[in-house]
Amino acid sequence: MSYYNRLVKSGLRPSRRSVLKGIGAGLAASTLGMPAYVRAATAGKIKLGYLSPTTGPLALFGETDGYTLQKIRALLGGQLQCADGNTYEIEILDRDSQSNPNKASEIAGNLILNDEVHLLVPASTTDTILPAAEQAELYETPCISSGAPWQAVIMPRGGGKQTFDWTYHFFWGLDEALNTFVGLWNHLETNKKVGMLFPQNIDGETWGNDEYGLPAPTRKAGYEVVVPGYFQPRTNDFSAQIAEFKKQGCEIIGGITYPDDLKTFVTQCNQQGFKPKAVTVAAALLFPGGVEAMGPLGNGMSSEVWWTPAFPFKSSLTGQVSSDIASQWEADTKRQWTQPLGYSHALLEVALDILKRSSNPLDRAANRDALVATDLQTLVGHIKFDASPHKNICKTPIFGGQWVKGEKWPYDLKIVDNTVNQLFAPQQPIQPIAW
Amino acid sequence: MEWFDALVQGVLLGGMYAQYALGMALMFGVMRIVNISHGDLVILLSLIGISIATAWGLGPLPVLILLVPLAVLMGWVLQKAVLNRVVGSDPLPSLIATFGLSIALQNLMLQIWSANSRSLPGHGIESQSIEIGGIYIGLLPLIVLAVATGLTWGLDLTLKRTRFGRALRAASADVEAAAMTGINPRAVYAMATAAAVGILGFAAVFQALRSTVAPADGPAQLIYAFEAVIIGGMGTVWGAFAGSMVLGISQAIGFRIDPGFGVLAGHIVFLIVLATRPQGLFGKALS
Repeated sequence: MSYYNRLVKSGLRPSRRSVLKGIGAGLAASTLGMPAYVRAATAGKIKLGYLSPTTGPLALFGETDGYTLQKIRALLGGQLQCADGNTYEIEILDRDSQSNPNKASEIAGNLILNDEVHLLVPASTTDTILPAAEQAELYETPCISSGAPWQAVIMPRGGGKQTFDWTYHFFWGLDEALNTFVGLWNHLETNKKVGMLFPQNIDGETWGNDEYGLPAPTRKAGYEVVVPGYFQPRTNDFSAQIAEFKKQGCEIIGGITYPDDLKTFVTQCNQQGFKPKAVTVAAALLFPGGVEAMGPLGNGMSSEVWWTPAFPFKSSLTGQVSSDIASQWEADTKRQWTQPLGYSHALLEVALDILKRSSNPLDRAANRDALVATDLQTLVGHIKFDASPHKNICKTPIFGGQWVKGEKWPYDLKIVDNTVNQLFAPQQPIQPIAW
Repeated sequence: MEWFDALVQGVLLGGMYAQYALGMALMFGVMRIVNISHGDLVILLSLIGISIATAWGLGPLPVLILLVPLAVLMGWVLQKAVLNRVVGSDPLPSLIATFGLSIALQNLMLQIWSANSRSLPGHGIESQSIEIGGIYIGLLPLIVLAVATGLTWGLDLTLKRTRFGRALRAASADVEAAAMTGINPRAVYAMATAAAVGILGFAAVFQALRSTVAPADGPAQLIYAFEAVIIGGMGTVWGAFAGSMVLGISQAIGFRIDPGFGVLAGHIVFLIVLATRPQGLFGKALS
């Protein structure tokens, strides 16, 4: 129970909160009696706590967060015009979770208890969102997040059996990512034999699980699945798996790996004369850097797609479409756009929309009510919490994509499958890998 | 046939471990310096090599020719600036110094190159192979094995036959006695570390060709280098080579039993050697 919310419940107006701290100070005492319009040009200061992994191994995910935040800050100019007619000062407190769940938890607690933020916004990766959401739920602070499969944010907190009052999340789910893989393969003419690669870690065990992992929907779609056993991350030799895949005659490779293991694997595939028609893996092919690291073998690899510049939706903040946002990023950073960029933008869209609609942006409960009522078209799709599949979740679209030779950059990600969400048509059909 | 294939792939894998283990054999086996930053130096050299390749559009061989002298220089500076201050009969100060260096290097690399995985463009060399009776032998692993054998042979001769080799062996056996005969142990050590890191220049190029490198990857291969040196026996260069082969073959056979068991199989063999023959396969038992 937070001290702030106890104050709210004891009947004190939240807008007087800052004044409470200053009791005894002459200035504060003298302003108490004055009407609001005399006190300041703005109706108060909204504090937004923003948490993202800007350093550490997950820094690639946080990269677009920091960039987008800087853009939005410039756009706002420190002020927010809200639906209640008032103009508020807005302060965005951005913190680095250092890719560490313990740090994320500590920082979230600090933002809630000491900085007294009115809305908590953890961006990107389970390691940042899950601990922050737990703190927000504990201290009754509204929390909106995105950038991790929703099961990872809901299930570890017992979300299978219960709902939450303060924490909401929008993203696609693991099950949909898996169906995207199967959707991709359905477009190819193969012998329907899939060899799978899973590392011995949490990701690998989740993806490789026989009941809810990748083998389940693949078998259901009529494919034969070959799993030669889990490998240790940073394995230096995949010839055993390749021998097994060759023996079974697999024409498709699926699973989850990191770039180093995938490069070792495909290099050895080439050496061993094993040439599958499709290599579809999660994680390794998310960022263009990982695909470029594959060398010429990157051409034709496929993966799930969160967001690309081909998304047709408009930003509710700037009116830009996805391709504008991507080209602005490329012009500013001189680097290729990455998939989390769209989500970094959409998350701030939703957060600011909540504050604008709130009946009192300086009150956590009012912000929570505004959060629940969210109904907004963002860069990544429509955000509305309509209790499906879970009260605290809004699912966003996911597609199947293939990396092909690019014009401006070495490789471009093209949407080639829309089995899971028919929101818009694929850009082009999937091609078998030309080894 | 399947097991013979595993054996062949194991020998090739051993060649890669040997490149890591040779520098370690010199530093840990001969000089008794525990260099925790061994793996990070490989990654640093790989990233420098990749940057050189992208900046000037060079192929793997020119990169190797540029990188090895740079590695030699780095090794010399490392010994002169850091390790010579901590080297002595107590192994702990060098361990702590290189542990700190490892963390500093990783963060420095993260600053310069970001967390992205990168690789060295091999212009097709990494995907070629030779087929002999149904067994595919990758060209790149074969080159790695050949280079490792050549380096082992050269290093062994250097240690046994040259004035520098004798001085180094003398200095590591008894620093004071060696100094009395006119050897400057610090200068000898600086040259030895330069050679050890120079060998890592080879390992760096091949690592970036066959897989990818990222700033945090260094420590992952460190354990194999230590294991190879200990299996082979401290102080012998061919021992480290043999240790790498034992490790590579154990892993490859383990992978065939179960892909998750391969790495563990290597560790188990290492433990068996440590328990039954602590001086290593080629090491001399301490009297």
